[in-house]
Amino acid sequence: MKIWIHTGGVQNGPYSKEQIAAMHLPPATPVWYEGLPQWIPACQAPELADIFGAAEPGENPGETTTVRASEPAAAAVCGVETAEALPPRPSTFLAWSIILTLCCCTPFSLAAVVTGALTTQRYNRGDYEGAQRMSGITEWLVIISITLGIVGLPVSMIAMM
Amino acid sequence: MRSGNLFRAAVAFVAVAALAWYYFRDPAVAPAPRCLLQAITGYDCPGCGTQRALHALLHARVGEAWAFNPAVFFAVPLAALYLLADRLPRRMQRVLYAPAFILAVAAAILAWWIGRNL
Repeated sequence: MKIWIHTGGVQNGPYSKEQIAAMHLPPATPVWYEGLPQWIPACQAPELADIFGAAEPGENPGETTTVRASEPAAAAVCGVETAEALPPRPSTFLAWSIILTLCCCTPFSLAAVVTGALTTQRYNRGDYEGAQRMSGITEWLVIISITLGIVGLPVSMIAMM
Repeated sequence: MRSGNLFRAAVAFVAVAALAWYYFRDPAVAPAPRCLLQAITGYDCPGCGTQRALHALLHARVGEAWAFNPAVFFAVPLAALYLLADRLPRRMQRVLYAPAFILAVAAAILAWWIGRNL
């Protein structure tokens, strides 16, 4: 069976059922395989019921929720576990990194913008730990960028003389 | 909460001091911090020209500021949007925090960096 999934705002696949099982996707991940009329949360897909466990076959078979990709609210469709309040998005430090590309002119602040994007991407995907990790990396990139800017200030002044 | 206010006050103080500095001193003639990356590589970085642009802007010479570094006109409002993001409508937040949008910002910075050195 070929299964397509929607993660991080893009369509990925096709994957086999075994691959899907190995991925440990959040239950609200939008999935599609041939035979489904539309994208549905993985936890509601009958063919994946043994992986995600939540779907009860036979109960309102036609009545699945349509999920739109990159819609974090879709997480609420998959039972108590994910319907709980989502953890807050870790900081992306984007105001910092954008301003720093203007004044500390180091590639680190550009890297911080990219890791900021990865933070929200992980977060939207439901990977809260990954988002937290990326946010930590971003914070360090911002700190390095500021430090280099402050250290570079006198150095560049001396270099000018 | 209190340390947050202290931090905000410090940022505001630095910002006002910097604006005053750049109002009175023209970085094009007075000694001013130079870009380290440019000193090492000889290439302009995406931020080169920001100080001169700021000085020109503070004297209402918009065209001159644009010529020094047009990126200022995009980066400052965008950074302000991110600072206020929590208070903006949901729909705007969704755009601001869409990975594709942020990656587009990064791509624009990179393109500007390469483009201005060609």
